Amino acid sequence: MLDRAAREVLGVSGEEFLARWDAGEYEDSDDPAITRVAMLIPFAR
Amino acid sequence: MPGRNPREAVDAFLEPLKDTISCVARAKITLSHDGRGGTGKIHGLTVNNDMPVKLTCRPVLMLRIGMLYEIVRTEEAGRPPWRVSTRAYAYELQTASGELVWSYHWHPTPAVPNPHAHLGHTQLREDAVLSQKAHQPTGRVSLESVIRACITEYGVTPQRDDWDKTLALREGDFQLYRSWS
Repeated sequence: MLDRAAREVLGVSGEEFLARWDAGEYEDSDDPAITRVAMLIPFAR
Repeated sequence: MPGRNPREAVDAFLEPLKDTISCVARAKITLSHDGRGGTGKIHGLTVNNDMPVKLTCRPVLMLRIGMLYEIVRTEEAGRPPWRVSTRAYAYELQTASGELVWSYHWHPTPAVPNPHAHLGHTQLREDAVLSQKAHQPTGRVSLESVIRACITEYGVTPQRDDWDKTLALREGDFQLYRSWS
């Protein structure tokens, strides 16, 4: 579910999104697309 | 709404959501792993496997619903000790082609800590001051009020006759049991 959303709205794999998320790369982001994918993190862990 | 154990609290949380969603669509709620009982972690909730739900109206509109929640222990006198606390929500109305009409978000982060709305760019003029990325401040928005707006403002055909009463009842529960405004 997260992989599909990450590819659809951000053009990255779910794995890559999670790596960037964990690295704090999205901390200062106010992009709604990030929110859209971040809501699905619990489904990937 | 509280429960005597985590599972009961989640069931009490889900029941009004199912009722509310049934006013406009038949769709399944999916929880992330251990979402009915796991404590000390954030759980995810999606409707229709995170795919937008088709609403009965012309033009066709689609609604995507997502939430994050946590099962927490409370010390409220006279109430069962477990409850579900919403940690984030995203309600998004889309056109049939997937373009955003509007969305209501709350996802506490340092960058955007408060509830807000986004307006889809296809709904705005080329020279509009508003943009899709702007965070229009709102109060906390209930799913019930979003579903009601779909029916009363956007012409969605209700899927049950008692939708008005159902939404009023569930909105009342929401107001009573929410832990913040």
